[in-house]
Amino acid sequence: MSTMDRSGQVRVHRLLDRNMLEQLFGLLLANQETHTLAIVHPDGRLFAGHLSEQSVMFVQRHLNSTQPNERQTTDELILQPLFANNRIVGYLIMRESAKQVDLVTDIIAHMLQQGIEKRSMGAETLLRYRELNLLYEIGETLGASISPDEVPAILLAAVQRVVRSVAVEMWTAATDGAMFKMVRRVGDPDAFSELDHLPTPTARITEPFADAINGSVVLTVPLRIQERTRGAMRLVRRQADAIFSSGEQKLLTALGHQAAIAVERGWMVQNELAAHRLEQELETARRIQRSLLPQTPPTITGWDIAAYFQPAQHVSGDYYDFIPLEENRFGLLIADVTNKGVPAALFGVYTNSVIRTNATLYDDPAAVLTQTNQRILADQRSPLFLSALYAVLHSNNPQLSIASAGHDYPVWYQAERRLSVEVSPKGSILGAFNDIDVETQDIEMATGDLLIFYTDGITEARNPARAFFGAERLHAIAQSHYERQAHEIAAATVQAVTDFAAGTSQADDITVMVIKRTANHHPTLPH
Amino acid sequence: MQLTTSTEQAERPVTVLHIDGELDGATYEELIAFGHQLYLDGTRNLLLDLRKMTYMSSSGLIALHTLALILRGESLPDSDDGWGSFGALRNAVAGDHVEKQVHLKLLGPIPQVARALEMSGMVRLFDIYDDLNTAITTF
Repeated sequence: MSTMDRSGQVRVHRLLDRNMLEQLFGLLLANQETHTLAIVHPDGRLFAGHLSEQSVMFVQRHLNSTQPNERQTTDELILQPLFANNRIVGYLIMRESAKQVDLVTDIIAHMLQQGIEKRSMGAETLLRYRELNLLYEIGETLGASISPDEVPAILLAAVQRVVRSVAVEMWTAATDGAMFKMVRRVGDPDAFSELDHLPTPTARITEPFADAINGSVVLTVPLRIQERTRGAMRLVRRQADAIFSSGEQKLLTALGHQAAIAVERGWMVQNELAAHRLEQELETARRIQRSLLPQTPPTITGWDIAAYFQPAQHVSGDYYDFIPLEENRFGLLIADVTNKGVPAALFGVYTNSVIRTNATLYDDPAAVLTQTNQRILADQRSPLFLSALYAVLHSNNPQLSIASAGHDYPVWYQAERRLSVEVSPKGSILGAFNDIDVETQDIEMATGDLLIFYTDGITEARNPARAFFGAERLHAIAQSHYERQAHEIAAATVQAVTDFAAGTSQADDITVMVIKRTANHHPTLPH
Repeated sequence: MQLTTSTEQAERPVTVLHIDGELDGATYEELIAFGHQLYLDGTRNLLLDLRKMTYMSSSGLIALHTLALILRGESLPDSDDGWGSFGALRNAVAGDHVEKQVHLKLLGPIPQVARALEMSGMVRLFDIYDDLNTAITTF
């Protein structure tokens, strides 16, 4: 990397071509009336040209005792020091009486300079080549690694190869956006305290910078890819040779770039793995929840019942249930937990079991909901709330009793009058109030009448213009489809919502239950 | 959703919290945190200005309920504490009877929101006003 040999002394023979010199001197000597024209090493040994033996001995003796750094004339001999990089690399020896000492000196000086430049360019080229090679190598190694854990060791090993330091460390984060942590540190432990003096590097660092600490210099270099800083490395140098050249900083920045790419890629791979695992878990949860829902509606004489259920995410905060009771009675339940996702789904499973239990203990729907509310408050399982609609019907009996805990008002389509109305029983949501103030409402369903129970995923579905589906559209569906079977009406409802949403993603769970009165007093009457 | 505040003076100072945008599963926790900070900064009477709240999902009900707890001086449980403590606080809002909250009131909900407040029973907890000045004088 420099023109210095191991002893630190630049030698003329590395800078000057001896053959060329001999030719030059030959020419010059031919024009001089002398045989004294030579270049000697700093210790007086002859390098090129011609000196009489006597002169050689004289010069050597002289230079043994003193190394003049200016032209010296002694005993009719001129000793002209020759410099390269501010150091004496030899002497030009000429007769005092020689002509054109200055010209010869200039020529030799020029040749020396060229020699130095060529040498240093050669070294420079070699250095660049080595650096490129190393970057390529490091790029390949880092590129092959997908585990973020491998990156620090690879990076620091590379850094130690190319840039001198007494200690070096790397900082990065485990995920995007997290604070950096020091992940690896190598070198002389005595130098670690200097590194500990500095504050944690942040993603806001965009360029290398140096700090002076306790007689050392610490260089911080960000690991950057495009406009993002993904970590940092720090190098310590003792004061004596503390400056990190711009070339070194550029090289470190390039290495940092490779490391940043590898870090980011490692994050992406880990995120994908995590997302894949999560996806699988949610899919399992979805299957479990599905299996907990009633698979088919009950067959109840005089009634045609269907339900449709579509969660917004894998798992749903909505649910429905059919609860067989004694003496030909059935409980019908639809419920909507606040929020969505796994916590809502779990709360749903819990509340469903409470309601089922109370449904078998209490005949009156309002009592079922009141007792459920008390149980939920007493158990204190969750900060979530729940709306619920619970109805009890009888086979062969057109009367249906219904109670609501803050749930969306069902649609009641009355076939004979061709009229669709809202049923609005009184009651507050479950889990929020000590007293839900709920009342059972009795409805007499005529043949052909239908009830639609739903959750707000339907009425609050939005189209691309951000308008709501609304309850009016539900009434319209009842109006136009009332002669169809319950499952067809349920399907038509969901289709209408899907069409309305026209591609915007489903924001909330969609649940609908259709209850149709198919006969009065004649259980086997076909419809 | 954007949250901004202004202060009015009735018999006592009232902070008006203006909600601009949608209150749903993605934003309700932000509203709770904002309200909590207001309380920590000294707010003791809060009027929620819902005139520009364009939508409220069921998650909004949780936010309103929790803000009621906060304004009653119940400290929020640690999330590490588990859900049990929420329930204990929940009972404290209603006591034996569900009462209108004295320190938290609502202003100008749009029809969809008013309907949701009605159906859920949240109207039992909160006085609702159409007019800002009238609302302020009731604190």
